[in-house]
Amino acid sequence: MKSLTIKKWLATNVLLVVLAVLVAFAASLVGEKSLPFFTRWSAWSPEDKDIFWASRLPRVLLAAVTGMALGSSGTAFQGLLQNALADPYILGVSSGAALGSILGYALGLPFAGIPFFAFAASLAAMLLVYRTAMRGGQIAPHTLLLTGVILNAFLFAFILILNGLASFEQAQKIIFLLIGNLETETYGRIGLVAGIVAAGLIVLTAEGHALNLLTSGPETARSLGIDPNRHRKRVFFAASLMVGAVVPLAGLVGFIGLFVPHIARWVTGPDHRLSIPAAAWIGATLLIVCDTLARTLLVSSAFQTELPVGAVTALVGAPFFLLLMKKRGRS
Amino acid sequence: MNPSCLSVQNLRFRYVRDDVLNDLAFDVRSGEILALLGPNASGKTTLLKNMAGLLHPSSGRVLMNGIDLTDRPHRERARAIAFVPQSEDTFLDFSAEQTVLMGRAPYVGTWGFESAEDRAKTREAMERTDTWILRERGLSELSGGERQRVILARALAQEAKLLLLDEPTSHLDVRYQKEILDLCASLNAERGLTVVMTLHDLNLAALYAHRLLLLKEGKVVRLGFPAETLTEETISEVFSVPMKVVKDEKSGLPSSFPIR
Repeated sequence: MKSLTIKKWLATNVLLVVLAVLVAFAASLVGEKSLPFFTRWSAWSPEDKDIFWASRLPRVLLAAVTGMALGSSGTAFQGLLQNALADPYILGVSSGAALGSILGYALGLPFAGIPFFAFAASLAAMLLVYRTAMRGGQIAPHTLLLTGVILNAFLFAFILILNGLASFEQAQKIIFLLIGNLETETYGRIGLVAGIVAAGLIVLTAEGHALNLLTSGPETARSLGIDPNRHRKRVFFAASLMVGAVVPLAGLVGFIGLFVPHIARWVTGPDHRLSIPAAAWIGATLLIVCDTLARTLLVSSAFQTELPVGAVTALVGAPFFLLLMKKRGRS
Repeated sequence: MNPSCLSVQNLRFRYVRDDVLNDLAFDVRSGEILALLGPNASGKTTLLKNMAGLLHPSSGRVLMNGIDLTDRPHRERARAIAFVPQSEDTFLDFSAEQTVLMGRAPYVGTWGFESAEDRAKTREAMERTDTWILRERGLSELSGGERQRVILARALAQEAKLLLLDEPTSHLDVRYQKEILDLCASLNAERGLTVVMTLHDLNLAALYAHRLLLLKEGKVVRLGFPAETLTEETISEVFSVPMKVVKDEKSGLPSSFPIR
């Protein structure tokens, strides 16, 4: 793998953004009612325009923002924890965000406050897992993943208790949050979440160089002139903020944060300065595709129903996880 | 006498409740090769890491140009002191060139992109260590000796005047041991780099180092030229086994062996 130049950085990013935009556009034309592909915009019927603006585009945008957050934060977590199986969902960071946002909703907070509530809970979950797995300056890889599994079970219990106390309508919302479901949201909410995700992505990309140094261990990073703790804190903070922002709207979408980093590194090489933004664009593209499948797979059949997007990502992601475990075990 | 490059003053390092290093005081001279010797758990590596600024003394100080290492910003310290760890696992398979470019970390800006100058320095460091031909290979594809040379190239790319190496010859066969130590010796001779390394092999230490520091249980037993430090009495005591020392007729260098 050749070393990274600014030219390669720009070219790769532009290419992946263009791909994401094309897929987003195509996906917003597909659905229960197909929108005209080869017709000029001015020739669209008002009804079609309404479906595009009010229903398709916001959902595609939410999928994009969620995919960006999960893909890039997953890449950062894997690099920082030196674990190819780490992702916000498995580590319990997403569940923390889910519990935080359910609490926020239950307390009747205005929406603008919810991502920050979710962020605080996801950061707490992350630090708990990290501290537990850290032994004498080293992260025990199996302890890390097992702690995530246990924490997930624990947080789920809390969420189910809240679910039991909630009204029928609220309970419905909680279940959707747990499965991972993208719904049509207002542009205002999506805009707020997108702003937080963009800020997080900028921080993570700026931390890319430090993450490269940290993959050789904290001691080497220190000898090369950076303070490992300061950079770890920044990465945890930014990644948890991104997860906290998307979970209140999208719920627990699993596996995207796990396999997107692998695809990104396969495309870009191991350098985090490029693999982190690349994972954002690839995550956006893939989650749009998964959500389009979720919206359309069963609609045309006799069932007339939509799948939650979390089911589609799990169907794709779980086999991928197993393959990865098998490969790791061999090498 | 050469001026001091690094000054260790009343250094004490405590791990949990045990003293690993106990009241050490010595100077590293500019332009010398100093080998730290001693049995396992004598504190060699801990001392080296304190000298690298990677561990902070529990009390006492390590001074460079009169400034305490712990008071120096990390970046500034990394431009003055380079550290080559004994082994390095990386979770991602960076190429040799990407690895050596990381040696420019103390010089790059916020976004971490290397300048043309950084690339030129990287290439020079890799050519000096004969690793330029390996530049596109992943670290995991390299042999132990090749990998050690790549990490040494990364340290050279830091352009530090002081090079610290932790067991640079471990896991290497005798040919690669000689290769890496010859490289250190020529860098020392040509560029005036000060080299401090921990070693297990007393004979290699006598062959390459100007001075030896013998450690036992976190204390300095002896510091001096090979011929005066590697005496039967001293090393038998330091390693707690009876040792025999033979002097080479030509060079006068001591070789030591355990006695059965």
